[in-house]
Amino acid sequence: MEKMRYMLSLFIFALKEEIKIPVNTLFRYVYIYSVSIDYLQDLSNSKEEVIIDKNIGIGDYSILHEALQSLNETRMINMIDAVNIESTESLQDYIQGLLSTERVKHDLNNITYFVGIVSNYSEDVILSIFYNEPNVLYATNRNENVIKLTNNKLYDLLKKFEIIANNECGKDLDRYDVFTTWIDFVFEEYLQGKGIE
Amino acid sequence: MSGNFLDKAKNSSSLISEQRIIEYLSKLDKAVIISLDNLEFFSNHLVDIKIKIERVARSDIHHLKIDNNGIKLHETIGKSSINEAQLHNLVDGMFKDYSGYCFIVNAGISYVMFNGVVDDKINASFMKRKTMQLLLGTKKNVCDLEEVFENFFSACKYHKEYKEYCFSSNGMIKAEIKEQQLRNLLMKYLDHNVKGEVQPEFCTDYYNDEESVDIYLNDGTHRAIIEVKFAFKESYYSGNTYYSFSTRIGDGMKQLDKYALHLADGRRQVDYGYVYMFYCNDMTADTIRNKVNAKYKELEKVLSAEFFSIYKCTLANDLSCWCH
Repeated sequence: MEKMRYMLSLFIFALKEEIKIPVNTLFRYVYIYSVSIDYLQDLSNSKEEVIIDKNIGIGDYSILHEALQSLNETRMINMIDAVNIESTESLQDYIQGLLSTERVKHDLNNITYFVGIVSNYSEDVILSIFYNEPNVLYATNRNENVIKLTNNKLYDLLKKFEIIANNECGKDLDRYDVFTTWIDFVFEEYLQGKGIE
Repeated sequence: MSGNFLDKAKNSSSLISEQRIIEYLSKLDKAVIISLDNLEFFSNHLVDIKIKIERVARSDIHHLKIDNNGIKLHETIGKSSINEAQLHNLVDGMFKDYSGYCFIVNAGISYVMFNGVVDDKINASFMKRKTMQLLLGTKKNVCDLEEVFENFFSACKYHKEYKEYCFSSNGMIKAEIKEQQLRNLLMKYLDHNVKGEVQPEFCTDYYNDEESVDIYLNDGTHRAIIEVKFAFKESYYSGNTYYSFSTRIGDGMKQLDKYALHLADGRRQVDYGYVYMFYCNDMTADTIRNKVNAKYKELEKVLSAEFFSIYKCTLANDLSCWCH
């Protein structure tokens, strides 16, 4: 839980300009980050497993919820209402205090970059991204709710795209460009489903 | 789906992620030009760059030069009150001979330059995405469903395709129009007019596949379930399933009650529950309203707390009003 609490506090810090942060969208950010960071940071052989609730579009709900409660109890966040939170000065001071640690700075940098990309999309688009994430699609088709990141299907898809774009089509994409292109693709498919072309 | 995504590779653009990041930085409402020789410097030092931008004066335009070690130079290069054309001239004058990347952020303007040239392709795709996101903003949230139901009823009344779908040329409701067809009609309208996921036959019980509510909506923040029912008088319907209006309203409420209990058992989050009734008979709108209220009163003692926690209302859509 401590790891999740730490991760959530970095996400909330990266989102501190938002007047309110929808809790479920925040949880979906954490899920999408968890499955994409292997590719974005070119890590391999992740041993993690993520439990998803495919019906509400959330990963590791109970751990996330427990971590959020803990942040609330220590006044790192305020619950605005049942579905939205805001960060407090305590959280900002806490993270600022940790920034002299290289590891924290590295983690915050990754999360800030990720948040910088995904926070440009509305909450319904983020939900659609969750449902269209290849690991979730695979688990849904097999009626499973545990995703083993040793066999990360998003990693494979993005890697394949990167090879086609850069090696076969002569592009010069970095990993974040590939990731953003995937997000945009899901966004466009979602728009088509909503009758916006 | 993955095949279609891979097809995008030939039209993909570099700098697309950086474009998103400068859009994110533009929320800080400061005027900044960031120059760097290597894109990795930007991703490696984003936190420092953001903290720096948070702490600069809003009244000025700031130039930050980034190198391998972080922010190498910070200088003030003008007043942020200048207009768009003046800003472009300022940027041109300073960076048209610069070999590297420039990210420009000021009051609603954000764009990328490489080797002194504005990347039109990436800026066009940025504008398109922003417009699309705005269009998406016109779709309603799940918490505004009752407004969408009203609009749906208006669409049924005034758009002839709804009538053509349900009625034969002799004015009778077609025999094949049953609960599933009516549900699909409502669901398609909701899918085009409400944000997020709209699913049919959402299973409310983890252990029993049979326990599925007709329509489930989730806009990312709120969720709703809708149980659809119909009751047509024999003289208006070519089919052979005739239900009493009150009985079907009661059935809808009891089913919603059962689903609310399952969802609560599974700690699943649902915020709103509706019964949606398609009907065609000789009763007035007032009589219909009274019948719905009477059924609610009759069942009030047997319905669960879980039902009342989500139930919003029962809506009745009179097919005799459709485009006649």
